[in-house]
Amino acid sequence: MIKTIDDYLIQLKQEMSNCDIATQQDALNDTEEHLSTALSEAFDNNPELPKLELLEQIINEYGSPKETAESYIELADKLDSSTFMGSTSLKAERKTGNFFSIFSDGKAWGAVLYSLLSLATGIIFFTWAVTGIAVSASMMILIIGIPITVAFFLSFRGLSFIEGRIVEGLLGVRMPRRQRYYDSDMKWSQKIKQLLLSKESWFSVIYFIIMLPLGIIYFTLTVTLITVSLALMASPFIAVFVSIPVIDLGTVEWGVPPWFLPFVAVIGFFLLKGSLHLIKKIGAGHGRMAKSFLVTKDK
Amino acid sequence: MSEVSLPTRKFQKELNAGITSLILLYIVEKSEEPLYGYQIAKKINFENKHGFSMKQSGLYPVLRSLEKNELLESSVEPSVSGPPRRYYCITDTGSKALIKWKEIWSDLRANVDNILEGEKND
Repeated sequence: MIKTIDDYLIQLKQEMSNCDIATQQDALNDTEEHLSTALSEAFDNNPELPKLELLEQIINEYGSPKETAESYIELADKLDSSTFMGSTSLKAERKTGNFFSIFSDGKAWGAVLYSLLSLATGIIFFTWAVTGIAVSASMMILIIGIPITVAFFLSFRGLSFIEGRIVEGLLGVRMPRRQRYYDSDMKWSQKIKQLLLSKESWFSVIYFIIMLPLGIIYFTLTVTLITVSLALMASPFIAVFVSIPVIDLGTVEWGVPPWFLPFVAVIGFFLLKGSLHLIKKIGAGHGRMAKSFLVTKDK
Repeated sequence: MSEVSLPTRKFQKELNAGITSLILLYIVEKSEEPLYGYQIAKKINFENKHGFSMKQSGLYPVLRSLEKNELLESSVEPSVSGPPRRYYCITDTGSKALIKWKEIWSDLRANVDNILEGEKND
């Protein structure tokens, strides 16, 4: 028996327990938005009627938790197979065969772009998280410490939301599409307590801190691998104009023999292909990690 | 509401799948200001008293799908009375798609009517 909006949301969550967490959150957010608005309007129009009766009518029009869950699950299946960057890989494989597919794989290039951006985002996230925690901790003895801490924690949620959008856009991993909100009946003190103690806030902070070393690793690895691959591929063409020895000991110089240069280019090509596969795998792994840190199950 | 048989429900569901996108695009385009889900749902109930068999919850995934395909765009605004609301408005691509979709719908409806009326006359 559904007596409140929360009862409905609990049942909806149960119906979607096998579904992707981000889709669950989409459904919960949309449903709460709709039911709250509808109930508030219905109550304004018919204040004499009990809320339970009004809610029953609203749910009758909106659909049962099972019906709602079904419509989201159908959508998630369609989106997974048609719209994300990752889906281009399947089409690309069909078009060009397995061998060259990585070069037209949106997910691989998305991961390359993410790795290049991660140095900058990693530095920003790390600096902000460490500054936020340090300033909040040191100000806690003063009354002004509470608003400062709250402001920092709200900014952490904002940043984690932005990172979620970047991860979804470039790595194709479904992330929440909306920032969390609070129950309108909640007192301010409860809202602050929930913000400061929630698993989501602290997991975001941990994520921001580990993003600095990860960002450095991703950036360095990507730039090195792609630069070396491209340099090897370009070497036969460059060798036509400039003679650069591989080993130069001042008196002794050793260069790659001209007949071997085409093979160097081929090695460069395979290195580039392998690098893209590796970066794509790292991107997928990072996407899963980001999801586990930034999308928590507590509603 | 009278009981609907399973094949009829399935038929209605399949028929609704494409039409819902058309109707949502049309409603959002016709509106002068961005609309949130509940406002859109109310307009559909109002404009489709007859025959449009669908629960309101089915609209939200379609709105998200239209947004994912860049036919609609949305922004989240805080609300005084409850959780934030997602407001939708149509994109240029959405407006162009809507013109095409209306043509397709009009042709399809005429064709189906022709077939069904032809059958009646036979």
